[in-house]
Amino acid sequence: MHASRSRFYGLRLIKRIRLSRLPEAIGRAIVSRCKAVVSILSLLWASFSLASRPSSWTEPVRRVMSRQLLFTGVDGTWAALRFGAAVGVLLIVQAALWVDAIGMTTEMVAPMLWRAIVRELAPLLACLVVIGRSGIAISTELATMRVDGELDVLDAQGIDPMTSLVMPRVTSMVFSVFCLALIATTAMVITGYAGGRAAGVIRVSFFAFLDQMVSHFNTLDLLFFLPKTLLAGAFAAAICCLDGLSVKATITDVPRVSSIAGTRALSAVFVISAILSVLIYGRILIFEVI
Amino acid sequence: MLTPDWQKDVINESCVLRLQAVYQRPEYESSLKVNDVSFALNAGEVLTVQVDPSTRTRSFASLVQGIINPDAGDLLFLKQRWSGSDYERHFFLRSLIGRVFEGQAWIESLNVDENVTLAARHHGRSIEDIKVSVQDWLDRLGLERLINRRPAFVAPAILQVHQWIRAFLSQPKLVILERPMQFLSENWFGKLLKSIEWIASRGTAVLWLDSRPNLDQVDWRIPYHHVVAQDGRFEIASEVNGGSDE
Repeated sequence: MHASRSRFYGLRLIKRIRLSRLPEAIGRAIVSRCKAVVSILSLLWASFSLASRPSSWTEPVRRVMSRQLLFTGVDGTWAALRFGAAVGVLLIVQAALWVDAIGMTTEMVAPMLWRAIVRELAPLLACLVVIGRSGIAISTELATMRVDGELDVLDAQGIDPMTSLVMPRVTSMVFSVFCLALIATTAMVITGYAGGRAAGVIRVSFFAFLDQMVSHFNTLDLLFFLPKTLLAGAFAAAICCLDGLSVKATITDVPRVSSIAGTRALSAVFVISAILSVLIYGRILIFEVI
Repeated sequence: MLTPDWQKDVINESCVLRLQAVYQRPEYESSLKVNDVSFALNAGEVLTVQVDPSTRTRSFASLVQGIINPDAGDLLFLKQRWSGSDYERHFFLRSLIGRVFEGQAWIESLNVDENVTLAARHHGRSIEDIKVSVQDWLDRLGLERLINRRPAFVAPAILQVHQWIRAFLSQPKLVILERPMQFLSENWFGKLLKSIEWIASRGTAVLWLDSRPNLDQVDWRIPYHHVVAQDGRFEIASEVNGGSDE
């Protein structure tokens, strides 16, 4: 009897302590998120202000930049093409279902495809390719360099690691996301047309189809495409670099930090994409918010 | 772009390094202890510091370079403090220091030759000028050419000699040598001494941290000081201010 009562009071006490700590935990989480965002913005500010100075672009920095562009942008082209082609086919399959269901025409399919591709899918796909191929590799590389003391070696020779390592990686990732989004868009349009033609959904020539798509191009498309590629790419790059550099001095931390960096970068891309959609459309689902 | 006044001042400063009552909490148990250390090192002088064989010198060298801040005391390089957040000044000052590292010394993603010339290229020396300086040092050390393979695939002894070249390449104001004979046979000792005397005669100050037993018996022809590091203090063992010939 006595034991069960004391256990009851014990549980109540634990609950009270947990409840009393809940606001504290929420506050801590909010502060830590705010700190993370501030760190990301600081790193981006530093990177772009360094990139705007001609004196930063020394020969070794240009070499790092070109290597990173080759790895992230050029080598990522095939992946962007493959993924873009696959998504183009998936889109046209969905369009075919709608054509069958409600008797849509090519004139109605083309703008739908175009908007889905340019405003949402291509920027997202490019970010996924870049994070998967390069973002995680960058955080692993920087973490390993930090653990091995290579950052100290640079620092000791009067070479700023921010200028020589972070800035070229961030700028090349942003540039690569933009270029790969363009490539993914092209792949989606081509395979979308080919798939649609094969499925009988699209019955016009390629140039007529392209003309229908381009005729629907407006400034709102640019308003989606540019920030969704540039901003999401910049955030993903900054997160990968920050997480890589935040590793403590043991090599066993490197894989853990890399996987966290990848997850965080992906989360950031989806969140930014959602926030931009809300800001630009001014609505969440059917609800007007702005 | 105008050169800042401090940048003009450091070029002709004769006192290269000055430590005043510096205290540094050891980073690791084996790190070189620094407790109330004071010394001054002028241009063209050599300071050899005898350390215990089990002592790691890396954190002390980083302290001298301003990568780690002292917990107490004052540390001046060319009359400049490492404090403050004007990082451009810090990086400029560090570009005037050559260093042979103990432990990790290379950027593993670059070839050894790229590593050797990295700082010189980054700080704006022309490729032709760098090639001439590299060839001078290769001739002086009896090497054919720089290795163009990743550091992971090169023997430690060869890497160590390449570290010397990197440290001496840009005629720095200060050279920090952390166990420069590590991995090398005694045949190289004479070449190292000649190299040090050559750069010191051109105004470079040399801080040599080592546990070699015969460090105090070197017959220098340049001003030198020899101190023994014991329990965090640097005890003067011998010094010659005008060179052993005088």
